[in-house]
Amino acid sequence: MEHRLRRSWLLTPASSPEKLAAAIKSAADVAVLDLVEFVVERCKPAAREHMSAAVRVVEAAGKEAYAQVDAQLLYADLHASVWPGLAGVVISRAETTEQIKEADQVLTHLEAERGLLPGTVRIVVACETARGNHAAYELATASRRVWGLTLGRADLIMDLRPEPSTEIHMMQYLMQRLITIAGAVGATPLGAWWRAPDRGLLATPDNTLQAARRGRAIGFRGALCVREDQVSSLNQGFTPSPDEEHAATRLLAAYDTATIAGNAVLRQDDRLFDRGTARCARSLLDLAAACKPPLAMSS
Amino acid sequence: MTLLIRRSNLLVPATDAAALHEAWRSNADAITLDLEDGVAPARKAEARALVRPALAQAKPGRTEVFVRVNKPLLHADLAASVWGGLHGIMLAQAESAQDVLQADAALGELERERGISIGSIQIIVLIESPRAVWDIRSIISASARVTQAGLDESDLAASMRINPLPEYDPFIYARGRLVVEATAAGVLPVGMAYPLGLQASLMPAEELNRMANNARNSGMKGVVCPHASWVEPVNRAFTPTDELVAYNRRVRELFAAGVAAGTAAVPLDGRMIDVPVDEWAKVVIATAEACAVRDEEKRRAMGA
Repeated sequence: MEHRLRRSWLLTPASSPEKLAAAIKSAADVAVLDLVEFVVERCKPAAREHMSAAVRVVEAAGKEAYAQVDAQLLYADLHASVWPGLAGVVISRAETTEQIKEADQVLTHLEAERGLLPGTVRIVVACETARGNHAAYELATASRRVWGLTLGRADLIMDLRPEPSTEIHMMQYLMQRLITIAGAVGATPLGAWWRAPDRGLLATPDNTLQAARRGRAIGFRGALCVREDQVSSLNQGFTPSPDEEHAATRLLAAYDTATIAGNAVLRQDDRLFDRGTARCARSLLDLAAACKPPLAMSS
Repeated sequence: MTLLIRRSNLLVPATDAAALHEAWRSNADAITLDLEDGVAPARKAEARALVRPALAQAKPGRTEVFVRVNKPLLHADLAASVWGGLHGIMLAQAESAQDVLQADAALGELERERGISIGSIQIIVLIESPRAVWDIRSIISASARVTQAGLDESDLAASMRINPLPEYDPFIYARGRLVVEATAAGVLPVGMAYPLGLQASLMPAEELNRMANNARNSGMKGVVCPHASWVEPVNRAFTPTDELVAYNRRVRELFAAGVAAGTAAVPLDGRMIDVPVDEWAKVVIATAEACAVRDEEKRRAMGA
């Protein structure tokens, strides 16, 4: 089991040193150096030039560096991004297994050429289009490097509009399908359960916290965001709350006592529970422990 | 085609004598003796030895009897369970078609050895991992023995490391997939509405009935009940009411009259009856009749 937390992934334009400086000061677990969303066509060559320095800056700040690359511009974007210290790439608007395989090959080549350990640069597949979602399982299994899956900005790209309830049409289906696929292949599902009017992830810190809490409740483990003030909301939302921890501790204690006594179906107040519920409680406590800062643990 | 009526399936730890006693007195369509999650690891052997005496207590026609088996202890559990009076097994942790085929083959051997009609022991598959949700089609169609399929939602949540909250249903997709794939394969999907399927609890019968109605309205054909108090509200939810049956008989009569008069669209109380409405009426009436047959069978068995 891997213990590094990746709850908040802050997208930052690779072309802006000021933005980058702000990003590394934030509490983001991962800085995603973007070559796609925030970089207009004519600025791409300059942004690519910045990448090797940016990767070094992020790594020096003790964060993980990812690059967000365009599935249609893999060769140029990957050549710009793969430098020692790069942890992985988010492949935006991925649609075909050929793209993932091509990325895998280019990564293998660049790792060898630039002195990175072979096979270490990971892939997060962003299924942002209908085709990408339709092929999500195939994309997730197209390379051993695929570590994570996300819907990216599918709401915008697929033009999914809000329902009167503020839920976004189709998103519950798409989120849960992707989370299921991620679970089936052993990848990490990234995302939050956003509601309108937070389109384009322009959510207030509080709405971001709620989106992260909802997201964690359906299986997401972390999410991408675009503003520094959303970072701590994601970190908090993807960390079990003290109340949840307390409830899980209480439930597990009751379960363990009962199991020792030879029973395996438990009743606590009006709730009935069995091994599955106990396993859920245990995984919540594992996550809570992993989220505690090391200092707090030793004090 | 006869409809399989198995509205309530009451899950009871094989080691819990009091719960089992209560289960026999309940009106459950089926009882499943649990050897799996409901039994502590140290008591598995003891639980196994209790299955055959329990099967002997069952009144034929009253409730069907199933046994929930441990996948890692499949052969021992099946050997302890496949005796006269067993209707089927509940196969927990069904991960692949291979798992179902293994159980199928082992059941076949035991049926042959023990003089039980070959192929008669049914399988209810429980899906507990995202891999199995994704591969559900091959799992439920692996054997003709599979008659029902459901999600074990608490184990599924655990295997996905989900920290569920009651307000946010994490299994809209998984349950939808179950209903579509099972129905397409001629297998009955079973499950309770969220959050009760994931976090079972005791609540007033009317509340349970409302939740069971929600489950039925989303395509489920029955519920695996963790407690005897669930049985009555669940049976009620999956039995068409007299009013609904009367209404649908009227639908059928009016539609037949309309067709005889040369139209295939007939108004009734502000609604338009056409072919799909008539088809649905047939399903409601057939379900009600099959429930009545099952209930009469249970009453007779009680009297016997």
